[in-house]
Amino acid sequence: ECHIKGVTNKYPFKVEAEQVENCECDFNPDFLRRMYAKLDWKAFKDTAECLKLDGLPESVSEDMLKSDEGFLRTFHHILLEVEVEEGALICPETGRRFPIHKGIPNLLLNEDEC
Amino acid sequence: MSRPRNANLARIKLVSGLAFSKQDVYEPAEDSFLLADVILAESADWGAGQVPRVFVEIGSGSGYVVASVASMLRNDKTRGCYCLAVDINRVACVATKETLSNHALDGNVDVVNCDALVPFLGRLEGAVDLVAFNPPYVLTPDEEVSRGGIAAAWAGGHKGRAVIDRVMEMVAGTIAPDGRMYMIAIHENEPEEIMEEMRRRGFDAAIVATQVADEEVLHVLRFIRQC
Repeated sequence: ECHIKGVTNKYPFKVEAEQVENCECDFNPDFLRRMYAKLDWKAFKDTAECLKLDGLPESVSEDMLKSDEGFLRTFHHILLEVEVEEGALICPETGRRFPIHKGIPNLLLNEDEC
Repeated sequence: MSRPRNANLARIKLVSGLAFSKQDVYEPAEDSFLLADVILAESADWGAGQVPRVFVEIGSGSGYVVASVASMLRNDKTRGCYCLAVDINRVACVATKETLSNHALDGNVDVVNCDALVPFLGRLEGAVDLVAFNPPYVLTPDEEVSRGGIAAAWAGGHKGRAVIDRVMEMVAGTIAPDGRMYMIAIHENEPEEIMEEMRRRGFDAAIVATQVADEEVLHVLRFIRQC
């Protein structure tokens, strides 16, 4: 979320990617189920779409999490295997860009933003 | 500051070369090893329901502690933990990522350059199961605290508590019921006072390890959020 002082519409960041890396990660459906519980699905899906990653459903059912391997594989890939190497996170309210460089977002604020 | 104990370097062998060569990142020392050792040792007692699902390290420096914990969690039968490492020093973030990558752990850990958990306070409220924090604990003049660069790794201001107190206040709310935080403090930080404050915030607090390292007496403090 955007932590600039005074910003109310702070979540989620928009994402811009100039360079995206794909890495391979062990498929672990239990992990996916646990992570799903902590995600704001709409925010996750919208962010994926910013990165031109389609294939996530509007909503997720218990059954899909339990046994829809196609869905789980897509979820796994987008959650764990796609990394923004160069780009930015953008505050939805102010448009302030927080750069991502070498896969590390810089979320440090300037003095006047604290 | 203490000299590295070389025997323990063997465990996380491939700590980023940046950590040693650039002098801009805190290289792992007695306190890093102690913190990692204690977390690993305590994890043997975790029941099935206590394996962390979200782990955060504040001030990851070279990445030694987060790499040790992420490696342990990955090998655990019930593996599957989201790991986040943050550091206010960008060079430390790069070093952390390199260390993780040297152990094929970088797919499991996000590294963010920011001020403790400031950007995550809303999203992580009550969500973190395990926190590791090796703070800048050295007693220094207050103005050294905001100097930046490598000094951010040790400068703790008055009583060495400037960063500790600020982070504890911020992080307390992010810890889940029954969640734990492990933190290094030295005798001069007045750990009893730190623990009292956390008890007031609803945590069980105890010193779980003590080690003498050169001129410092290191303690590992453990906080468990009461339900």
